[in-house]
Amino acid sequence: MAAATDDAGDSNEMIRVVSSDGEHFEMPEAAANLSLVLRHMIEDDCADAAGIPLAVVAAKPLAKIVDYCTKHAAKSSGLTIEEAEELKRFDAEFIEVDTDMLYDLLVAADFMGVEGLSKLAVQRTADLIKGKTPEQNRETFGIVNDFTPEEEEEICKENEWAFQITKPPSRLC
Amino acid sequence: MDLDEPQMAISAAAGDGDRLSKLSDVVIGHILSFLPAKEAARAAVLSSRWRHTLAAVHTVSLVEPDGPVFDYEELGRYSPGWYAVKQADPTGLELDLRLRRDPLCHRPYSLRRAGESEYEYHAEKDVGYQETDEEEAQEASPKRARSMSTTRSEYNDEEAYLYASVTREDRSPSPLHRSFSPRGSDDDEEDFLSSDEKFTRRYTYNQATAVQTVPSGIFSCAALRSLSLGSCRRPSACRTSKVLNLRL
Repeated sequence: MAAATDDAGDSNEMIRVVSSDGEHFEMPEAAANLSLVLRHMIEDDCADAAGIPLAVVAAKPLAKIVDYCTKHAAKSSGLTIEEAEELKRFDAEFIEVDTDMLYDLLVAADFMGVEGLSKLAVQRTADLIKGKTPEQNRETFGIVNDFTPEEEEEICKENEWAFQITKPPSRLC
Repeated sequence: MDLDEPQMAISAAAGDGDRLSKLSDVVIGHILSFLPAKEAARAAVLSSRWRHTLAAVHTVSLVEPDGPVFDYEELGRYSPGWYAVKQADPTGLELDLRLRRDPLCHRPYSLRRAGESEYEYHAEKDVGYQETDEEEAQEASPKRARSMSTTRSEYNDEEAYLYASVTREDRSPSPLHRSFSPRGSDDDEEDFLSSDEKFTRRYTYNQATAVQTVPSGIFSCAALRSLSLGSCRRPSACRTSKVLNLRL
């Protein structure tokens, strides 16, 4: 119950985490605090030299998450406009990943309770889905259509409203 | 509002197959919450995994970006003979949904049937969807300021409309008043304006919107926390008990 109450935020202590495939990572405590799970572990004094094991997060996404948290923790409070924009740019670049990594990040961020990252990954996924036909989306994400044509038609009918196309205003008077 | 296509060529990693579908309902619901309602609902057709994912959505917005102007041809196909004549102004009023109870908001809209202006009815709040004479509507007390005009529907009673209505707070004709005319049918627009002139005088038409049918499925979304409606027709037998945050 000790560390988390530091309001200075820049505690020098490093938190160790261990990925599912046994790799060790280190990040400042302020960064680890961005993860709900890690924060609770730290509050409960479970963060020791052996590191906190994260059973469902592999090394590759964990490296990214550590990266993300470190960056965001360093600039958590009192952002100037430029800093905020830089952080935004960082986010945009950060999430330019392939679907595989995106999936890893979605799962890991959800599991670790990193809200900002979770939102970022979800938004990115939604952007990938947006404006595409179901067929295109199946292709993008490798979703196998297991409906019979009849079933598919039935679902389309059920959701007829969703397949109506709306157009932007042609004119305002 | 077109988002840029992602620059990277994205394709599912070969061999790994469909990992997106393996995500939990909560995460999928979260993803779909970031999509416009229609696109979220369209996901149902992807595969059986996605069949009922709309139920996990926590935020539904039926508000079309830039104001809901509908393709009148499409709308006409959907509910033959109908089209919307006015259009929303983004700075709109506080609104209410009329789900057979006290209105929570006021939003003007008007729907009319092509070529039949005589079918003009007013629904009054406290009598549900009972249709009343125009005079009665006029005489209604100021507190019942939610008269609205709608054209008579061919729909069953049970397929009640979700009415958006007009407030009485500001009686001066609004500079924001806008009207919309479907392609080329200026006559109809004039009809509309004259037959509804009294409303224009009595109420401020900050906006009027096209009409959209809300699928009942949306109201049963278990995770639904926020529902934003433009101007919608309510499907039969919907329940909104779980909806905590209605936004228009």
